[in-house]
Amino acid sequence: MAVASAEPAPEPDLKQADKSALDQTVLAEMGELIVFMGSVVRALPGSVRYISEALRQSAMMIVSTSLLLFVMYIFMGIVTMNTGYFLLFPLGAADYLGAIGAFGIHVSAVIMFFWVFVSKVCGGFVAEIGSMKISQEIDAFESVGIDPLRFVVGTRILATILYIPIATVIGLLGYLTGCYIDAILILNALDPAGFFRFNWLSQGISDQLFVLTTTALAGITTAITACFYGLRATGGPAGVGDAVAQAVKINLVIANLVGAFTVILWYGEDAGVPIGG
Amino acid sequence: MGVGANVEGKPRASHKTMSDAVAESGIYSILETAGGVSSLFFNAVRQMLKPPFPWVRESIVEASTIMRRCLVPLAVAITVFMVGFGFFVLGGITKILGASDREAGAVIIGFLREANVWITGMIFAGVAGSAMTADLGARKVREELDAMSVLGLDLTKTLVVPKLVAGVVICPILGYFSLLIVEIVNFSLAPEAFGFTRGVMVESTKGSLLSLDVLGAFIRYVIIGALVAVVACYKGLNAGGGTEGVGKAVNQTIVLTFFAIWMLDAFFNLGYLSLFPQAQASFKG
Repeated sequence: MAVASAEPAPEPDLKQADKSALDQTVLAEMGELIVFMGSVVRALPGSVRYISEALRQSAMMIVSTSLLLFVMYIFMGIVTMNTGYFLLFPLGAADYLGAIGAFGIHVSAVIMFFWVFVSKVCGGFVAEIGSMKISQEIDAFESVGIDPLRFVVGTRILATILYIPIATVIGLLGYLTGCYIDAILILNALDPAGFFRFNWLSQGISDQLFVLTTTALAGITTAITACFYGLRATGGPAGVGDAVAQAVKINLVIANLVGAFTVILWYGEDAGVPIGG
Repeated sequence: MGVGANVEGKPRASHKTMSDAVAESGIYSILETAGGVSSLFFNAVRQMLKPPFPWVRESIVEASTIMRRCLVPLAVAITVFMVGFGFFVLGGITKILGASDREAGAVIIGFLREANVWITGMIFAGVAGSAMTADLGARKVREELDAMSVLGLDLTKTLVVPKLVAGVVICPILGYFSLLIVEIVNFSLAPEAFGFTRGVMVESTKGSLLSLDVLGAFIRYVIIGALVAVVACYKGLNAGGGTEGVGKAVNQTIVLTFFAIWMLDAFFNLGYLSLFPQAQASFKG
């Protein structure tokens, strides 16, 4: 509500339809989003029919996002190792850098997936579906009897589901690479054997599954939200731009909330580091 | 077509020169973007300093819009990251090592140097940068930019300079605001979670914080603000190909600025910690 009603309005006399859309409160919008999520989940089995479109979307997603995700995870590993090294070094505990490497997976590494996925993939969804909406392509789908929820939204959600395991693997490998590059090659903090010993001691299969679960939950939620904002884009190209901005903003909040919720659900207060009992 | 054409100006049959091959390659477009962004930045700075100054009022409006849009996502994101990374990771590590009272110092230098910079930068780029690109891209698609040129308005002075000034001013404000939120969360929740008093936290924070850190963070925020604004404006002003082109431009802005923020953060920190050894040993508690 604060966002919508405080927008600077260059033309004071808006049409009644646009005006009522702008005055919608945040709570009403969130309610509509939840209803939309339910209808998308209901339409998902029907969109398996358009599996070829889903595979095409998935291919575009993989090709455009994988390298960027890998490199961003490398940077995340470098930055986490920087922080960890200059934290532990004055304490004389630089050998435990490997443990920080494993720890970081819990939170900071998964956050990188949120940033890249929300900005690139979800932004792309909103822009694409928004352009389809303002050029009336969605209405054209409906008029020839193809349910846009199945063909446009459902296939993109299936593509996201297909992409999630790949993104998890890329993330884990990229983060490990980044940690290795920083701790061993750049900082010369410790030897590779010491690094890997604490690294593998500190994580188990449940940590990898945690990354997969968080990635899945956040990815699906933000993808559905992006399609929601795309389908609601009105008012020409400027409307598409507004929808992209609004969607990215809301998605960043949602992704972080989902991540926080999953961390607390999975880990509680247990750090799980095998030092000192 | 230059070298690839014959005397009458028709292209020679199936003859591709090296200059054509270079122009079509991906490397050229990367260099073109880099050159375009730099020249736009210098042009904007030059136009900013030339009187009259019509951009002052515009930039205040822009700055307030960015501030309004970024505050809530920034607050939520930094709180979540604080609870996750600050408490679970940094707090967990210090608790296991028996250095639990130094958690506040660890949080402030870890967050001031690293986490705040990229969280603020990414929220700023994702929310404000994409909005700038979408705004200018939509104007380009509707040929509003050409109309403004016909009217004799200098595009850089009217459109780019306010956004650049707003970015440079607002990004440090957002950065320090997120640091405030980190400290509020830390001071509210850490004593119960780790079992020390607030006095210990104040001492630990005071002992670990250097004014050099605050200055370094400020420099980074200013660079990020300028970078995001100029890249967003460049991509918006050159968005071709209709509405799909605007979508692509927004995408490219976000990818480019995220990459740049991370590279800046990683290498600035390595250089900063090497140049100023007193910052390395500052985590004394």
